[in-house]
Amino acid sequence: MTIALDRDADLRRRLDQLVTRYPQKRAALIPALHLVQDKCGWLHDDAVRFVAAYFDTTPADVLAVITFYDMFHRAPKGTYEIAVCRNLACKERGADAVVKGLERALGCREGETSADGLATLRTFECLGGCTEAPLVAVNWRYFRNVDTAKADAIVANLRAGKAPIQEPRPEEPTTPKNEIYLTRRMRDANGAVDLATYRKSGGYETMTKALGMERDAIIEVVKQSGLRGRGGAGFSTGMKWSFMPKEPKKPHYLAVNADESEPGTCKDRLLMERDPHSLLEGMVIACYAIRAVAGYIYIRGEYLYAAECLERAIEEARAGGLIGPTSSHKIDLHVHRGAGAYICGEETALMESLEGKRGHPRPKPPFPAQSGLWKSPTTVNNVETICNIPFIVDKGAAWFRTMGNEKSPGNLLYSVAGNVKKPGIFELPLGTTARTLIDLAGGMVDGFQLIGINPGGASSGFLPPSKLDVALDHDTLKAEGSMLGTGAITVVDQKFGMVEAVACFAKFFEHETCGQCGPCREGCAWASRIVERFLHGEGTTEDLDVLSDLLDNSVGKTICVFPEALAGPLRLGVKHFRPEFEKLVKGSPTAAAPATSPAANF
Amino acid sequence: MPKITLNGKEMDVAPGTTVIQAAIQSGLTVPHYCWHPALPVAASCRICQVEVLGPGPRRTATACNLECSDGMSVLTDTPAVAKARAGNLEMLLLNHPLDCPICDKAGECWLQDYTYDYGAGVGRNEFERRKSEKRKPISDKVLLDQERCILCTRCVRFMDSYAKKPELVVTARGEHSVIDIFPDAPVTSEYQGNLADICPVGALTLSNFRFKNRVWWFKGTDSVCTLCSKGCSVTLDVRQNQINRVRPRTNEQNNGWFICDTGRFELEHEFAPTDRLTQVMVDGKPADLASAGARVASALMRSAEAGGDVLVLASTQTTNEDLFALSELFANANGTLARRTTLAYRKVDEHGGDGILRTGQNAANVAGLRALGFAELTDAEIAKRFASGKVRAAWILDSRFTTLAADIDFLAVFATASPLAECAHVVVPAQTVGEKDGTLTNAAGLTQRVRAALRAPQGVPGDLAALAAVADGLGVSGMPKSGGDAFAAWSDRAGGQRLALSELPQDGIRIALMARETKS
Repeated sequence: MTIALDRDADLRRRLDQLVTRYPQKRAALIPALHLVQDKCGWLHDDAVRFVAAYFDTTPADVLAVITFYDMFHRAPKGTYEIAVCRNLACKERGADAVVKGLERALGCREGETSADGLATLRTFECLGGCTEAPLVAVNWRYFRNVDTAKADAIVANLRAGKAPIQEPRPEEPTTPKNEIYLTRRMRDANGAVDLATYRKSGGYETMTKALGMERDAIIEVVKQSGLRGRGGAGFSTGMKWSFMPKEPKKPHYLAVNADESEPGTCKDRLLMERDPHSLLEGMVIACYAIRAVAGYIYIRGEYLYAAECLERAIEEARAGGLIGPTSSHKIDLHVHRGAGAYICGEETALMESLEGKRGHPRPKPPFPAQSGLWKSPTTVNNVETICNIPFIVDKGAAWFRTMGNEKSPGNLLYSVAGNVKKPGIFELPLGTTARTLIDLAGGMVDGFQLIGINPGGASSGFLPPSKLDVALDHDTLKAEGSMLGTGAITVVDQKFGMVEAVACFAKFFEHETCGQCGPCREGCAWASRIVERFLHGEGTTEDLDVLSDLLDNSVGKTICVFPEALAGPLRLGVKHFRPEFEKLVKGSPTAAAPATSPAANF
Repeated sequence: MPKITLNGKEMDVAPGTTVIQAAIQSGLTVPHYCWHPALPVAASCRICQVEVLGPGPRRTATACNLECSDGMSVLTDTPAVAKARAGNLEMLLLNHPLDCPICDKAGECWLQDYTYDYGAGVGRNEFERRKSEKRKPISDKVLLDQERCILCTRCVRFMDSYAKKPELVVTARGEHSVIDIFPDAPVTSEYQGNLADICPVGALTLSNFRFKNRVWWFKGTDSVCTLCSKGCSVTLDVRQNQINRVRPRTNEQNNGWFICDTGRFELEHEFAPTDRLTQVMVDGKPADLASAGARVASALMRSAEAGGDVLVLASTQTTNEDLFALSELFANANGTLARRTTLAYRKVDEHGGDGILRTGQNAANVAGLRALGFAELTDAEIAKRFASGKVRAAWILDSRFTTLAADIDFLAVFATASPLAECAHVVVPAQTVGEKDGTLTNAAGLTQRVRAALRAPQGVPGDLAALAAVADGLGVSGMPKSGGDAFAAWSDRAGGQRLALSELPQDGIRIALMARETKS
């Protein structure tokens, strides 16, 4: 097999092309592993040795990277890989039944490959299709709202030799008559916005305007606008940019965080699939402002379709002389696919991963603006954050501040997932309430009652129905002990139960901790096991105290804030919904029958 | 220079100093697993928590990657710190097998030590412990126990940054993370023995040490490796007059924190060879040392007076003190003998070093020989001298010199072992470096002390005594009586400065050796 790979001229050409995208060869390792895996089906020992030789390192070094990422295989798999999302929204809407259906259709269990070698069936942590739940990916082509009938059809089509094609997105639900800008073009185009359409509506004009401005003037406008990062932490974007050195001693870089993997969150995918040029235009402006020579979009590997949309847009923009070597500014943009690891959304882990390593967060300081990608000053911004930039530069800070509120200005791509009638993504001013959003999503599905919400992705704390009228913005939610996060609401209903919702997230963090720091590596797994015990009606009252203490022993004790993310839903889950846990304490009359069946048969 | 306050005491530190370094400098203990002075900082074990009073909010932080800034105030032992450490240890022990009774690391395990110091005393984990590989050879020298591992990644960083061979890595993710090798690709580094030392727990142990001993029975003796001219500082772990383990002894002036595998695994054989000469022999018959000395003296004198040359071949594997005594012997001998004698040593093959520790010159004390004016002779030159017929008597003190095809009148062999003993007129068993007190000078001019770790076998008289016996025969007086005497005189002679052996710093001393004119 090594011989075959060694002689593969096409592979060699593509690898040689890949490495030209980066200042250091090693950065191409993960994309290269994708290429080799696509060729070989899986990364067997010879494939690993081949890659190691290409990158002048040991097979062990490559193995370390491969095994960190969920998308790489060290065992043979079927022609197709079927991944069923198992996180909250998908599970609430029947993912377990879908798994069972697929198991039946394929004649194999989850984790196995069908006897005919057709497909390997896996469950996956959040695939970023929460408003399209349950989501199934076949070779990373997404199938939306899958039920058992659709699961049968998917398998039947594969058997008939029909390659999977990404299902088109539905029209997003209409939003009330507020001013929208982020989703305006895609709404008007009634689909994906290509370069011609983008330019017709004034696209790339703001880039031209910005390139004529003083760099610091752009940073100042962004600062004045009060734009806060849309990736979850809500840090001032202008401030972040201002940390970059004014006189570059080394090349500066922009990394766009498109590793959207936080359960509940799927809004960046919408922007990248539907309006990729707005991201590219924002990136050029950002690169110019922070004196970066290039921008990398680190996109989660599962978002294959979105990555293709971006690649196409980049080709269009390069051909049009808007970016790259033929453009006036020479700033080039690249797409870099990850390979399945939530932690790579943490900015320093993202940089490690982009450099071709395991996604282990780096200790700070040094901060990315001092020493980021390849030890150069780097800014990491979320996709939606960057998409806001052209509008702010074009229309000004004052315009931006007409939306949202004082501390959290602008519109946000909120989403509502779970058992609501019309799950979807809504562009609304910051500070909109959950009640408004749930109403816009058509309210709860008949027969389902809302018992709580997760307001901003898995790391935000659960809130009870009494908090539905709280403004969903950074500071209000922080005061509630929760956080805005990504503005991705997942409703929890009485049939699913809050304990299982908490368990879902605990399991997620157990699966996704990088494992670098002891307190997080061990703490996440321990916490998840404790919560799971309640699901089986075997919890103890001491368990909740142990849980609280282990969170204390992890939070603030590790390199990154991963334990904080774990603690968010667990602490508020227990705080607001303690009776639900107590019902499941061993020996209590309600504990005999587990709260819900899905967990039991998953 | 930043001024910080550590546990209430002000101190100045060099710019760039981290809190853990400052703490160590001021004699404080901050527990740590992943931090190692010779490796890049990982900051991942999180046990080195200290409490920062300011600047900034009062908080706990890891000391290993916290750079001292002017005005910083830090406490290393507070209730918050104790709670953080106890919490950390609970996590690290959550899935640990607790198999201390059969663990080779027991007694020098930091998990044991810190748990004793900071642990809560009870475990609250009620779930089944994680299973992983418990006895996986990662080479023919080192065994890996993934269950005991706390993933501090010292080994990974050592292989990558020090040994320059990333053959040992972390695989998988989260709680499934383990240290591992690539299938069928064992660790090949010539420095892998260090993995067992730097592993703070019992995850990486030496296969040749497995279940062999309990470390608390060892007596550690400072010594120096003699297998190349780097002269790495080592500790010999001895029990019942046996070297059970050779470990690097930290010496920032020389080998740093590590030694190569040759030193680690082969020094025992050099210091305690299995095949030893143990009987003084004169003309094929057992004899005492005095008669052996007299016989050597008279033979050498007779040979010199008859107009023959005398070749004395000293060992590169001996101390400066022995070499000094040997050189004194001839310096004070009768003029004819002194004139007719060549004090020489065999040139050691040199091949380039490995760029890490090994010099490529596999001999211990060439620098010492040079400083005393011993002539360097190649094997060919030695053969030529014998072939010329001018050399009529030879005194071989080099156990590595094993073939002599010459018709000479007299041959004396003073060696630990030598095939030449069979045809020698006088045989005197010699000590190994592991059996004597003295000093060795490495290729970079660092003179370090070695201490007797082993008792020489019965019948081995001691090298200074053997030389003194010859001196008696020659009527030479004033020979050094002890290593200390010899060192003082040697340092005066070779370095122009009289030093006391007992005051030699543990890390050695650089004495500017004055090269003597070589007589050949």
